Amino acid sequence: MNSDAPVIAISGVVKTFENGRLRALDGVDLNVQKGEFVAIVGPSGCGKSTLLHLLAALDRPDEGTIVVAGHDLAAARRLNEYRARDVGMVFQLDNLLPTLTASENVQVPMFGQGHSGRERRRRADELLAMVGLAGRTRNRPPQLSGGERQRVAIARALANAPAILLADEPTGRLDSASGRRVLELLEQVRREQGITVILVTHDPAIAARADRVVQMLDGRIANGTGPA
Amino acid sequence: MNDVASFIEETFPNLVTITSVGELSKVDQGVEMMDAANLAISILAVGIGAIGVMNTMVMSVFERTREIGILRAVGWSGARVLRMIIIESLALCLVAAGFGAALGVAASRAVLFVPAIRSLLEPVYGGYLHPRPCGCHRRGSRWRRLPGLPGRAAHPHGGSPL
Ligand SMILES: Nc1ncnc2c1ncn2[C@@H]1O[C@H](COP(=O)(O)OP(=O)(O)OP(=O)(O)O)[C@@H](O)[C@H]1O
Ligand SMILES: [Mg+2]
Repeated sequence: MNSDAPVIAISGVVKTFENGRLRALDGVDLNVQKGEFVAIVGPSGCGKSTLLHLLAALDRPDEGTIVVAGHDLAAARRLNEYRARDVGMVFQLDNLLPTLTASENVQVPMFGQGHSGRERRRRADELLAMVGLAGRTRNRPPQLSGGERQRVAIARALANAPAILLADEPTGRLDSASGRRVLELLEQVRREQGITVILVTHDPAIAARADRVVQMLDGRIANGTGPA
Repeated sequence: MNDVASFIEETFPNLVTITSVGELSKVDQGVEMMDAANLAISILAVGIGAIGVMNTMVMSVFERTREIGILRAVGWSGARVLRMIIIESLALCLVAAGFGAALGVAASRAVLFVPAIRSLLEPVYGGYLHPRPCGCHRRGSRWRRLPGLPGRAAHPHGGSPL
């Protein structure tokens, strides 16, 4: 692949809800380069989460095309493999499975990827050590703090070494100290693994640390489409 | 004995005599009725049980939409999720069948503490639901199989076709 070609190419994307009455995304164009750290900001309800969900292939656009790492998300039929391998998603609430341990939660995306149980456990331990939770691998989410849970969620998102990490207000519910830790972790992941990071945030201080800030308003991007 | 019997029948035309236990069914269809009722109750029990299990599984799928959503979001295929649920329910069924059978045996034993029932019924472990009856009519037989279902075990004395 040409190194100038964007890893994410979004063009003319429309997404409606409520039988078309609600245009959550109203013609979005956006390109993101490999390894870029993009922050998406904008008022509540402007479509940030909707855009991230489309990128994570949790939903499909009504119009337009989304090509991520060579996958045409609007047209592809089976996206399980894409979801498992190419993207990792971190939600505002951790969305961990409360009955599984931290280690098991991190292993969930690895099922069906051809690893032995032992490889899965080893990789989960490595990832949890990387996010600073080496001692908590056997704890379940209710026994962890919000910041720790969010770090488990980041470890899970990285389980299959994706090219792209999507994070929807990952620090929104955290105090500033644990929020900063989570953010530093995302920066470290990006630095060390060259992962493309797209982060939705309301916090100007966090947005300021990104390579580029994408401003959204009423389902559109308000400040240009290409890399800065 | 037959002379006595025919003498009685001639003298009292509104009486019927029987000379052996086998002829009991000539006059008393209660035994067969009980068998039929027993079968009907068994079928009902199986039906109600099946609906109960189905309901539990459907509810668990509804309650677990969040969990299923998370699994799908991290790349599990629908088939993998379905497989997980089926394996879980099978495991649950096995454990429940063990408990249920043990409970059924215990209940059929317990019911014998009621004198009126003890004089009428004797538990038979096995029955219609088994491919082969296990023939445990003899009291005290050590060889028995688990009953197919709880509530299936009580059987009328002597009237069993098995
Ligand atoms: N599944 C859905 N069904 C119906 N409407 C939806 C759905 N998801 C989002 N919307 C609507 O689409 C619009 C954009 O929602 P979205 O969640 O993308 O906003 P957001 O920018 O993430 O806001 P916030 O900053 O509050 O998280 C909102 O008006 C929302 O009500
Ligand atoms: Mg949102």
